[in-house]
Amino acid sequence: MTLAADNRSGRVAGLDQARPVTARPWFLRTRAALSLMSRYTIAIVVIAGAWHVAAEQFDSPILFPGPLKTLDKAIELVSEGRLQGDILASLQRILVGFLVGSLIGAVVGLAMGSFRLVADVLQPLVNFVRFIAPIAWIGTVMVWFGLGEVSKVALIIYATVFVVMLSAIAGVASVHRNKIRAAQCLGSTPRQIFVWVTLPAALSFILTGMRMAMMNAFMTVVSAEMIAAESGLGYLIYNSRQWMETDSIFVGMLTLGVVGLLTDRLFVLLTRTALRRFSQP
Amino acid sequence: MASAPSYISFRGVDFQYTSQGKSPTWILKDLNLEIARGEFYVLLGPSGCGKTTALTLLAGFEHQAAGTVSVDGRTITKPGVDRVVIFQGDDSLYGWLTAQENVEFGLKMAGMPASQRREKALRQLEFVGLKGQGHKFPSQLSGGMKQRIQIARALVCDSPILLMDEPFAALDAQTRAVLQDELTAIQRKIASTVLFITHDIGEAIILADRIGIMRSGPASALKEEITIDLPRPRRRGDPAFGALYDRIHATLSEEVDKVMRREQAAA
Repeated sequence: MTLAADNRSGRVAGLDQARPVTARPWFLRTRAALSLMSRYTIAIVVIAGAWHVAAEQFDSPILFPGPLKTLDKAIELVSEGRLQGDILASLQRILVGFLVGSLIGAVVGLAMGSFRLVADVLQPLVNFVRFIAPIAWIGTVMVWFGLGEVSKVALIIYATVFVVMLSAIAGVASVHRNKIRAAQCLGSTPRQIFVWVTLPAALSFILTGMRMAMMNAFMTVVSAEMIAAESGLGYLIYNSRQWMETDSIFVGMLTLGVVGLLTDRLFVLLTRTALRRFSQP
Repeated sequence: MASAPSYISFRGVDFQYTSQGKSPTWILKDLNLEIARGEFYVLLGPSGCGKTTALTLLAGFEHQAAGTVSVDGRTITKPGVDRVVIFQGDDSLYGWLTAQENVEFGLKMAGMPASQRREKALRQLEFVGLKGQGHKFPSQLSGGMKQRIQIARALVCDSPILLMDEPFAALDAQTRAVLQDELTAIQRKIASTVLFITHDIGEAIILADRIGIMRSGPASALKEEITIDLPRPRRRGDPAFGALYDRIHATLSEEVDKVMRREQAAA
């Protein structure tokens, strides 16, 4: 997550939408993009180099494999077809949990932000449950939902829902009073004000919350796949631990990071193109 | 004008504000104010005197503790499309809508079909000097243009009353002067009734048919009313303008002095 780094022009809300609407087309931006790519490349090379040196010093390929050994393992896992299967299995759980969790979080959060009664009833519950880590629920979830997919997705929903809920509440609270008052003057009913003012004004908050919730979903999938899983990146990491296959653990961790990064970029790209206008308060 | 039949009236209006854990403060106490149909009425006063509160009551956003606020004999209980407010600053504009969509907002709420809406909005945008700017978002427009969107958004609803809460206070002096002239022209043309709040004496004289000067708060009410019968368009260099300015300035200074004395006593 690079919420702060993305906001180079210094605006709030981490949606990368701070650029002016009249940005130059991509083909005029290729040079800037190339120089950015080269900076990324340098960073990756430096980190991999440091990793390599550290692993050489440690001098135990089993306890601390270097980047080349990890890459070998990754290629092996891909050629066996395992890594792709693990990525797909985890992504599926993450996406279903993330989408369902975001939807519940947004709806409940909007209701809490809009209706005092709903907020007063749910606030105490939400405010203490959200401090209980998903991993603490594993035993309970297994008993309640069994050993199948439902348990795993339920944990990811749990990891997603509160972040989006809180951001939706903040979004509703952020709507400037004069926006509501202007709508009242212009003849809007309370329902119209919700649909045409509160919802669009809160949307950028909800999207920022979803981006953070995506991170939680990736972190939680590892715990979720401790529940009798037979595939997934979390399973790969957890299972390799039992055989002391440190290189496979590293492959699982790196893959989680890369897939997470790509998913985040895709989310930003989609929201930036489809929902750009909602980045303005 | 003062003797014309009353259209908007405040009678014996009291308003108190209670902030948490403090004893309530009277903002307005026995405010009486009559505005005739088609009149441009400017409410002038030191900051914190409750002039915006008076507008808020007429808009129907808040409710007085005692007295009545009415338009054409009907008591105000809630906001209505017959009294559209033009706010200070741009917080009331919808940043995710284009200028044209902002202007269309009230028509859309009323269920007008899109084609009809567009036609009316385009005409209104042209009327306020925003021709060809309708596709832009508020963030792409200057402060003066944003205030024009607000004016167009009110006018397109055929609102007979415009409530203007220091709408030009955040603009630079040149833009403010241009918009003051344009507002005068617009108001002459469509004959709407305007309640305009400001603390700028020059702005009040340029715009008003009548100026109501408020006492300093708390428990404020009207101190004095002055009918401005200077010919329009009014110019600041006019000697009559200067004489009026001095007179109002003297009245207002008494109130500002009171506030300062009170603050010094409290310190």
